[in-house]
Amino acid sequence: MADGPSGAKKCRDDDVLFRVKSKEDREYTLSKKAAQLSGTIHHYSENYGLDNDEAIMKMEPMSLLEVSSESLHHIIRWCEQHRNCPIWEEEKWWQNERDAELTKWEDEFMAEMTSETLYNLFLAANFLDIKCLLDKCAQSVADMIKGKSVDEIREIWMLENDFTPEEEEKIKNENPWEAILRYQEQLEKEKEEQASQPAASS
Amino acid sequence: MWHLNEPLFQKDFLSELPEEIAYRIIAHLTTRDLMTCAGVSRAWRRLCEDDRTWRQECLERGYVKFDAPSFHFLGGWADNRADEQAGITICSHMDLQEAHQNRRERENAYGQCYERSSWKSLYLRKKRIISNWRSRAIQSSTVQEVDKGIFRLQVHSGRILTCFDDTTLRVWNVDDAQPAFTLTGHMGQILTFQVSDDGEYIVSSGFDETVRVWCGQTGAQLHVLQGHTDLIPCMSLHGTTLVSGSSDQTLRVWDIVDGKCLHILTGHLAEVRFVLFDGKQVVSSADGDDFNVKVWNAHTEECLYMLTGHTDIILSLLFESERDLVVSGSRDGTIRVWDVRRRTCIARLVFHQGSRLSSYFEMQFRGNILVSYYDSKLKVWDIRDGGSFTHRLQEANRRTSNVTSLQLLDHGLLVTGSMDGSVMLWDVDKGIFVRDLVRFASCGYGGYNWLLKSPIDFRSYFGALTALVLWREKAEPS
Repeated sequence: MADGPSGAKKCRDDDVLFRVKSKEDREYTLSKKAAQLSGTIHHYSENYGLDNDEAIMKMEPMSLLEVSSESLHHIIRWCEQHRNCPIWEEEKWWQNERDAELTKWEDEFMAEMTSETLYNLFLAANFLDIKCLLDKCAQSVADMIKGKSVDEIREIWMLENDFTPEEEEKIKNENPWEAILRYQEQLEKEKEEQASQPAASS
Repeated sequence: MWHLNEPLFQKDFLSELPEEIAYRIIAHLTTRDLMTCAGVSRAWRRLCEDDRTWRQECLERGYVKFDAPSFHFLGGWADNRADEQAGITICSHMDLQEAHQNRRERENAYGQCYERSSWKSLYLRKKRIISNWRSRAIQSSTVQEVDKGIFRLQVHSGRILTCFDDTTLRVWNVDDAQPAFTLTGHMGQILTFQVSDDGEYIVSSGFDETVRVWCGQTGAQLHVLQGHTDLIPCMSLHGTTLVSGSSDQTLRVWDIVDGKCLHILTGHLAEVRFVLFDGKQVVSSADGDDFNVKVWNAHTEECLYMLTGHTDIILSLLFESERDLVVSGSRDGTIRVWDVRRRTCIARLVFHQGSRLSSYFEMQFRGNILVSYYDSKLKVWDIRDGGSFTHRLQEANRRTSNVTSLQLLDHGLLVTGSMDGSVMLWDVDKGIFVRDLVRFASCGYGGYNWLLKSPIDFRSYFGALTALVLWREKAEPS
């Protein structure tokens, strides 16, 4: 598998290594700091007394039966890259500042994903409870939806229209949104036209 | 941005991934996208009606829940000939009958959209009201002329409270613009007053060192709360718990139902000037050499946090308990936004540099938008990412007049009242002038001030623009 985007961080020789095992029974290691990004691993180490370096060094690999080797490979790359980041705050946007370099890395990381790998990565991140990765995945999927029409969305996601014609009609009619937007756009247009003409003094 | 190598997704992410993931995805969508997605398929529709997602959208914009559409009309305008004599014009005014007709029509047309996720319907209603503010005829208003200068003004569910430069508090009915009753009893000038959320109680305080509790329905005096040893310039009521701040450097927490003092908060080194209370935490600041904002636990009397950084007196203090944000504007020329729990200043906005402040300063804050007025400059700020200046509001073809009052409405609308007697509506997101709401005939002469208040229940009417409460204050002759 590719090593991914430029400037990737890897764990160093002197790191204390945390051992994990994928669904396919393949063993991986990641640095202690990176492992702590996962809420699931964090709880596991609390419950199994892995709170000091010595215990971690002696540990048996933690089995992650829900996570495939491919997903785990990506997850570890993500965690190593983010191991020095402050804890991801779900509700407070101002605490989640990321520098431009890291954002670039994240974008490149996401660009590698196919829809299948992204789907599995999403599930794995959810299982391992890695908030910052979940958020990035969600952001990426949302970007594919943004600004698209109903038909475009159906095409991209291969979705069937399961509404009855009556329901569809109703949705259109009861939804005041489009009407408001059209109205506002019209107002803005008028405003611009007004502004382009020399206004009469009031 | 991210592009997928293959054009199609093999899986329907939204319906096949666990629900909590789907909600994470839609949290990144704009409200317009959410509306589109709701029309894609039944599964998507169910997800996009999610109440929590819409709640978040509402909170980010500072939308709060408000009452169901009401048929409350402000009839005062029609009878109030004084306004005509004074030369006040409500721009594109709609008469009562027209308004009723308009409302019936709209109710028929939109009935269904109010029966879904309550936050979603809230969002849609707000959206509609906002577009009405921008463009529609004004249905009705109450403007009441008075002889004396009004000192302070409060509006609460159908009642307007005013206080002249004296010891009495007058309560008016909004419906007919007639006085309801007068609260007399204070032995000195009243400095501040407030109505409880349910309208049952009115509290007032001032120079006579007492807080008085009145019945909101009849105006009968229920309690005289004694204990402060100096004048009381600020109060904050939440439920039936009141916190008062006094020049005796203390804050007192009261139960206004049985009239008892529950706690005394001591620690300020100067006269307390501002107090805000959300039921748990008290945020306060003082005059003099004490430039800190203090956050207290009202029940343990403990000072939890001290927000330090200002180098001069605090002129204005705001508190949003939902996100635990405090905003303070100071004579040192800066506005600071604080994250209370982390005790850090998350934004520092410089509205004035150099010499000492010399003119009137006011600010308001909603969602991530902050509006400030100083030195005839009306400025819009975004508090995110350390705070940034986004717009200066000015109308190109008009002589600017000093702003005397400002009121943020929902979703980036701002109303300002100026010295020349006009009331203007602005779009703070785009930084542009939208329309005139009120004009005053003899502008420039006599120095009339507008005091603007727009309480939530006045902004909530179904249908067209209904919701501006104005009061004219005669300023000191210059």
